[in-house]
Amino acid sequence: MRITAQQYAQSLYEATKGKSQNEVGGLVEKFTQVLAKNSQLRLKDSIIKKFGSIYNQKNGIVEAEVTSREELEEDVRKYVRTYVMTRYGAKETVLVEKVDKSIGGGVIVRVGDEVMDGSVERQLVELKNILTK
Amino acid sequence: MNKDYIIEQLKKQIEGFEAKAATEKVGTVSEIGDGIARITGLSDALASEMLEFENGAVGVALNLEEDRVGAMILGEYKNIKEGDTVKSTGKILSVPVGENFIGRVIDPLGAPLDGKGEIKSDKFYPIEKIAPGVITRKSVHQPVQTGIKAIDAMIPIGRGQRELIIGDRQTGKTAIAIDAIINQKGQSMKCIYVAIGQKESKVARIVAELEARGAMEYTTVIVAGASDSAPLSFIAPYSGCALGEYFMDKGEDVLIVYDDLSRHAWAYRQISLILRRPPGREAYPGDIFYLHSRLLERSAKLSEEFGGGSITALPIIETQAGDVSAYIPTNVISITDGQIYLEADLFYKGIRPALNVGISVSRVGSAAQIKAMKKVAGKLRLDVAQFRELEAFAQFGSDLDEKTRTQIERGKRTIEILKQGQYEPMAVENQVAIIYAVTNGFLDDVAVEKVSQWENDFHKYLKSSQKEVLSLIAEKKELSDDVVAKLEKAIGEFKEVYQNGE
Repeated sequence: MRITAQQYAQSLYEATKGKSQNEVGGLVEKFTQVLAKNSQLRLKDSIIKKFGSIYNQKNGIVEAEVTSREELEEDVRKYVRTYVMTRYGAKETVLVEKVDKSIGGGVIVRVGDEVMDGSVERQLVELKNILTK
Repeated sequence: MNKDYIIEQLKKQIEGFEAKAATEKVGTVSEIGDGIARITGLSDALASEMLEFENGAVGVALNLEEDRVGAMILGEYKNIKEGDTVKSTGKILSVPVGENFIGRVIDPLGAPLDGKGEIKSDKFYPIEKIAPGVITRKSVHQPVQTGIKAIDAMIPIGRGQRELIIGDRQTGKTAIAIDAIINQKGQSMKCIYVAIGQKESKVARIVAELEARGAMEYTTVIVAGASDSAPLSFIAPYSGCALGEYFMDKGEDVLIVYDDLSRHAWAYRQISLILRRPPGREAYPGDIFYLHSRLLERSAKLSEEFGGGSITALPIIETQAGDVSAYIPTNVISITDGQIYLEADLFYKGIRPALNVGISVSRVGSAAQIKAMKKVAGKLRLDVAQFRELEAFAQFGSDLDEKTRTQIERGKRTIEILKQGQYEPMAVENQVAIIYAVTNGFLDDVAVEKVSQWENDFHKYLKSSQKEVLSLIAEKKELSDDVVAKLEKAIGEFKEVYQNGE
């Protein structure tokens, strides 16, 4: 049976859970040997990605991508953080900030495949749709 | 209209505008080609949910896999690229429906193709709907008059029936369907013609013909042409059916022609193979039967409590070299309530419509025939069947006994009467009169090659001098003794005039 990246990541997470930094180093080395033996090294990128999401999920960490026109001010950042925490019940929030001049203003918050689009750009498009109807 | 008014209106609209920032699920296009997109993300997409691409194109989620979604794209997909975001809408694909679609030529999504401007409608119907159940239905009991003698007499179609038209290419399948549509004038019937994968030139010709004969007043033409993508061909019959359901729900009668379902099956095969669903017999996917059965099952005659509307379906199947035992033909034959079988041999012999009366059947339609027609048709069927049996002996003309010879001669005239030109539908009372005449031997003394001329003049005569008989048949709908007497008298008088005239 073929083992998927998801399954590799899951087992790696379970093996390293609660282990100390030193132990983890050894485990990862063994894990890569297993991968090489199964000639599955090409899966490494997706395993790293999957491991990240599994780790975040288990530890209540939510990664949110925030797009804004200019760099966020500290109080806005705080506001977005509390919004994400209450909405997704997260213990910790990691904000990945992006600056995009084309959105006009406001912010777009993206968590996983869920998007909260509060940009001026989208509102203008919606207004246009209503007026042209 | 002054400009202040316009500004005032705009202000009002802008004031009423409320920008809500709701969360929505999005995915990313990871692979695209041949009208199919694979999308990652979209974690809670539903089966056959409508998706919206960045460029405004609409898609439908078909395959829901562990970490991605396979979707077909309706319409233009050339400018969708990898990495584009896709939004889910939470809606099943719906098409606009309404009265304004009558007389129009539209694409499967309801956009006009005839250049007559936008079609306004505020009602949407889902393209996939569960067919009416047992409780809501009634058995077929009203006729659909196709205006074709051979069909109305021997293979009658009732409102709510599904009658398959099957035959090789160039045997007149579409011609029968179009004649049936043309004959619906004044019969309180809405018609929908769905062209699936047809040549645009053919569709243009049909629309022109329908227009010339005033049939577009109650007809909608839905076109997914040969150059349109497979997903459009795939949804075309469903969206036609959705429009039909709108009228059925209002208690109206609908006639819908699917031309043709073999191309529909090809389109679905293409989509399925590109979605990497496993191929089965003739490379069709496993659910190809359900594809057609769920479509045709939506044709129904509703009972009075549910409005009494109906959808009559005339699906068309093209066979290859007369092979009715191929996969798709056998499937659709088993779903429908009978079939009209057209043969190339008959067509080249000059018997048009090229119906093979022997294997064409209507499983429910006889309940829908008017009594007068039922009476004359029984005899007609017998005459034709006997003629077929004796036909082989016809060449030994002189060696046959008297009885056989008269049967053969009668048969020849009957076949001659059943011939009918394209775009020449005939009213049911005329059909009854001429069939009565031939089955009761009034044409036995007319030479075979003069039968069609005789028939023409007979109808003209009835129309000009014997209107009363015709209206009597049309009103009473049965051949009681007094009607028969009048009809026989009319035929006798005509024969006298006709023979003296020559």
